[in-house]
Parts: sequence; structure tokens; C-alpha cells
Amino acid sequence: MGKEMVALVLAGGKGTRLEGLTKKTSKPAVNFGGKYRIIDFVLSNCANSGVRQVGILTQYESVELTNYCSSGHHWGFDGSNCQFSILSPRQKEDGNHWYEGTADAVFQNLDYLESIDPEYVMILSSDHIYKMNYDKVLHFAIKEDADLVITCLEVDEKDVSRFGILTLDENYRLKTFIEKPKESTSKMASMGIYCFKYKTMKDVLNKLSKEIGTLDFGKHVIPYLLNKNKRVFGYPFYGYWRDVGTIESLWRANMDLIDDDEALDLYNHFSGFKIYTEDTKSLPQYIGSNASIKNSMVNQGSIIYGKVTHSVIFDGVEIGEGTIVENSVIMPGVKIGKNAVIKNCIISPRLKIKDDRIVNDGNKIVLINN
Amino acid sequence: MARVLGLVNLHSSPNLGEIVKNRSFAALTILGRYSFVDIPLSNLSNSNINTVGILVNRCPRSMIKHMDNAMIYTNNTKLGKTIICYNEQYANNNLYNTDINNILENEWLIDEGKYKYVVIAPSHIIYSFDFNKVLEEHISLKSDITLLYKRINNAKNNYIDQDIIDIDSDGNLIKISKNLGVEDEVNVSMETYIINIDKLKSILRFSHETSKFFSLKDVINYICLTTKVNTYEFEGQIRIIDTLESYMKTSMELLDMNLAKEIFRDDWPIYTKTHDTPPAKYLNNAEVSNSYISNGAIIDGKVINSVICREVEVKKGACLNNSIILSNAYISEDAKLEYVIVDKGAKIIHVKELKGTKEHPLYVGIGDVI
Repeated sequence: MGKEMVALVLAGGKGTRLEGLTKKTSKPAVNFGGKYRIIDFVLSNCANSGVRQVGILTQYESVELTNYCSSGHHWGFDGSNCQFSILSPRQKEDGNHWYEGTADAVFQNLDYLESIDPEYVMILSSDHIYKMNYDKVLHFAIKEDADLVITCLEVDEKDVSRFGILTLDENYRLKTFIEKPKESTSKMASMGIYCFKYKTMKDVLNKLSKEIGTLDFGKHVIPYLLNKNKRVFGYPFYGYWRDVGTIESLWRANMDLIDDDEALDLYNHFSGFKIYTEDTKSLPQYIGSNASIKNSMVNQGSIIYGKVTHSVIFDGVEIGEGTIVENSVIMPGVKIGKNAVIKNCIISPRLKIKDDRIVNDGNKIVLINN
Repeated sequence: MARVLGLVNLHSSPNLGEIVKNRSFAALTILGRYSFVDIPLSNLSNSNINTVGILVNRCPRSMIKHMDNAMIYTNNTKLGKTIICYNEQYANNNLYNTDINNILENEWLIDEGKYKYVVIAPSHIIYSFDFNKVLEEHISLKSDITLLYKRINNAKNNYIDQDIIDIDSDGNLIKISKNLGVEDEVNVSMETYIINIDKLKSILRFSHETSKFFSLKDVINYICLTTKVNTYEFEGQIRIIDTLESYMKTSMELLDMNLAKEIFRDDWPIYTKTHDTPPAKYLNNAEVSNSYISNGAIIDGKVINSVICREVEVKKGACLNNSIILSNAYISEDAKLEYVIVDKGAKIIHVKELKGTKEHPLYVGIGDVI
């Protein structure tokens, strides 16, 4: 694929609805699935799709994320012909500029893109859990000589008001695009993944920023392209895709890994589509003599003496004897004492829970943060 | 420790029979996740010894494969390196295939002029140790050679045939001999040496002039009659693997977390290659107790006192007792295994009962379908 395509990963968001989980870290760095962080999915997709130039746009609480991404070696971006860059907001000659939304963040990095001068730019959000081969999107864009391809998926009728909704003609060409409509005949929702022809994107961003100021893809860029009759297409995606923006949805997506083998197909040795992540330097998980574990995922480095059912256990977690963990997500480094009861919750990283404590006996999923 | 060179000596590795037919002992898995060679390499790396040669005696393929990302053992990848040293010309001649001849063949490494001391460690004697402690003593005593040993008090029935050492009241080596089980209290040689580089060079010359079949141990045993060889008592835990039985026994002993944490310390990480496997998954019928489970494993059967490696599948109704299952093996429904070592990729399908003993574990070969 080489210099044909650059991927820009938007990783600056706060993820306000994740409550305390994003108090000191950005949403893409939030732990997921026993071993991963949310950003691993988009970056592994890039790696598996043959993308070699990746820029990560960071802003909110970026220290942990920047440390984690480092040279990109977790995903193999330290190889030859790869370029892996962390792009933070910066001081410029004319003043200081924070990223004011997605399109603005991209606009502010046009100089970075110009230094590579790709044919296409893939704009990716970093807070979704899915596997996708972006190479297919690129090929579709090249085949249709598209100025923009928006990947989209069908959502439930009740959810259309949360998304940008597309209507497509029989050749997948975009007819209309409406941001968060109250109701709609189409249920095709934008996934926030854009494959732009670089030249078109550059021209549009330069032009619109002079007229409008702070830019947004959904509000300004897409309507403008439609208006000018540019070649904008939708690319339907049919696989597993989850937005993990809330505690409830984050918990649900973790549980999907246990309940639904097909969801992310993590255990298929032959797919060649692995999700890559950091390797912790820890022993394999140790399961004690009186422990019991069912319907769960457990990562290396954890030590379990208690009873774990339908839960996701991250690395370095210790669960004491007599403790019951049910329907929960226990994040890295959490130490739980003896005879505690933990149900229906997410426990945030490195928390210590004392002996005999009962944590959330209710049915609502909650985050335990202190 | 820029002036210290590390050598991992595989020439005294034990022959465990079938299981090392196609691999070097050092490449064999321990605790479901590591290879034996990871332990000395990590001890050296954690001791800030940046450049390490691995003296490979046989089956270099397995070592080259394991070391494909040798950077993980190096503190600074520009300053340090990990090199596989192999003695091609004597590879098929057991008598000549000695550590001395291997070092001579790769003499450029010690001739680089950068090093003042060499630390030589084996991979079949496992322990956790900061070599700086013995280096300090070695330097302050102005020793030329220091040999590490462990004092034990149950040698009548243990450590049979291992090298034991006699030392005088000043702590100098008198001789190296075999433990015949005569006495309980003996000093077991850890086959770990600190040698001044100039002394090593003179040993190499002397050895060649005396006998071309001499191993390092032979020379040390010979020259200690006339030269001072300092000894250093190691206080921590060690385990020596010399037979298939002791491989099994050590693996089972390490199920005791207190012992495991002395060799695999939290503050002294053991580095190894990552395979990017997802967390282990436990299904509805899983019953696991007192076992190590590695990532990527899918467990739906019963696992007791066992070590399960990466991406092993244990089906419903299967029962593993006191067994070691190496990576990618498959244990079909209702198979009962006791004291069995199943090598990589083997599939237990048709045979539903396999039983070895503590003294003679049953071995199922790489990729065998039975």
C-alpha cells in the first residue's frame, strides 16, 4: 500500500460518559477485553490492512496514551517504510491552537500530510471496537474514483438520532447526509471513518476554514462536497462494531467477548487478523486450588483464588479466596481481598478492595472508582 | 555495566530425550510462557549487562526462531546486542563441540576490547540473581575467576549426578566432582562463572594446548589446583533441570506461588517473545485448580495441578492431572491425562486415556495426532 494512504487516528477525545475511567487518561487508552486498550483495535486494523503511515492525533490527557503508543512497535509500525507519528496540538507562529473538533484537528495537520503527500487519507476514530480491512475501502475508493468514502452500517431505528445518517443510491453514491435526524427512512449510519482523496480534502479544508472557522466533517465538509456534486460514496460494513462511549456499553462490549464467539473472532488462529497490544511482563495466570472460573476471560499475570463467573479479568489482578466475582470487568492491577462480593460492575485499574466488602449487589452496571 | 559481557552457555544443557530431539533445551517452554533461555538472558539484562552471546551447541533453528526479536533482552538496543554463537565446524562432532571451542570460534566477541569481565550462565539451572552482587565481590577480592554455588542439605536423594564443589576455608575451589548421594550437605555448582577477560583468554589458550576436548568446567577443575578460583554462595532458590522427570517436578513445584515468585520476581521481570494471543477463555464446564493457564487457551474441561501453554484447547469432559500441555495442543472431549507431557500442536483425539508416572512422565511428540 505504501504511500498511497495515510491513516489519521483521532485520539484526542475525553470520553466524558466514561466517568472516572477517563479522569486521568484519554478514552482511546481505556482498557478493554482483558488485555487490550480501545485504540488497539483501530491500530491493529491499520497494521492488518497494510497501512504504513499512521498519525495519532492526541489532545486530552495524552501522557498515558503517548507512552503506550511510543514508537508504534506494539502494532509493528517500527518496521521499515513505516512512519508512526504522535501529533499533538502545538504552538505556531500565529499563536496556540487546540484541536477544535475532528475536521479542525485534521486541518491543523495538513503540513504533516503534505510532507507525505499521499493519494488517500483515512480518517479514523479511535473509540470503537471492531475489525475492518481498510484496504478494501481504499480499493473501493480507487475503483469509484471517489473524493470521499464514508463507511457506514445499519443501525436500529431508535438509534438513528445518535448518528449521521446516509442515504445511498444503487451504486452506493451518497444522496443525502443528515446529522442526528429525529427520524429517517434510511438506517445507514456513518461510522465516522472517512477515506478522502487527499487533494480534494486539502482543497476543501483550506477553502472552508477561511469561510467558516472551526470545521466539522458532518456539519460542513460532507454537505459542501455533496453540494459541489463531488464523488461521495458510502461503504457498508456488516461486521461487529461497538461504540463504547458509556460505562454500560463498555461493559456490554466486554461481555460480548465471552458470550459471542463470532463477535471479534479473537481465537481464530488462522484468520491472520490478530489484535496486537502491549505484552505485560508477567507469569501466566495462576488459578488456585479452591478457585472456580466459568464463562470468563482472564489475562496473564492474574492470580485467582476466588470464584469468577461471567467476567473479564485483566493482567495483574488478584482475587482472594472466598471472593465472588460475577458479571464484572476487573481492570489491570486490581487487588481484591478475601470473601468479597463483586457483581455487575467495572472496577477501574489498580483499585484495592478489602476483605468482606460487598460491591454493587444491584443489577445496574456501575463503575467502581474509589 | 558496559565492561561486562554475558555468555549463556548451552553446552552443558541436559538431554531430556525425545522432547529435545528437534529443539535446543534452552528453547523448551517453562511455566507455559517462557523458554528456559529467557531466564539467564533476563538476569543478565536486569543486571545491566547489555551484550550477550548465546553459546548454542545444537539445534540452532529453535534458538534462532525464539530469538527473532532479541531486542527484548537488551536495555539499549544501540549499545547492546544478543548474538547467537554457533560452532559450525564441530556441530556434528560431540567430542569437539565444547563451550571452549565455541568461544574460540566466536573469539571476536571477547576480542572487541570493550569488556573486562565475562559472566557465564547456563539455562538449565534457573534462579533469579543480580550479577552485580557477585561482580562487586569478584572485583574487590581481585579474583580472576568466581564460581557460584548453592549449599543444600538434602543431596543424598536430590541433585544426584550434579556437579558439586569442594572449597577450602578461604572459599577457594578445591575440586569439582559429581554428587553420588553420599552426603546430605553439599555445595552444588551453579555452572555460573565470573571471569576476567584476560584470564578467559589465557584459559582458552591453555585449554587448547592441554586437551582439545576440554570443556570450561574441565579446565576450571584442572587449573584450580594451581590457580585461585573464588567461590560465591548463592542464597536464593535454584532449580536444576537435568531429566524429563525433573522438568516435570520443577514445573509442579513452581505451582507454589511463593516459590514461583522467588524465581519469577515482580521486580525482576523475565522477558520473552510475545505471540499476541488473546486472554485465556474459560467456558461453562471449566474446572481449574492449582494450575498455570497461558493466554489464548480455551478451557472447557478439568485441569488440576497442570501447566497449560498458549492456545491450548481443552474440551468438555477432558481431565488433565499433573500434566504439561505445550502450545497449540488439542485435548479432545473426555480424554483423561495424568503425568503426561503433550508437545506443541499435538492432538489427543482417539486415545482417551494416557497415564504416565511422576518418575516417568508420558511424552506425546510435536504435532502427533493420537
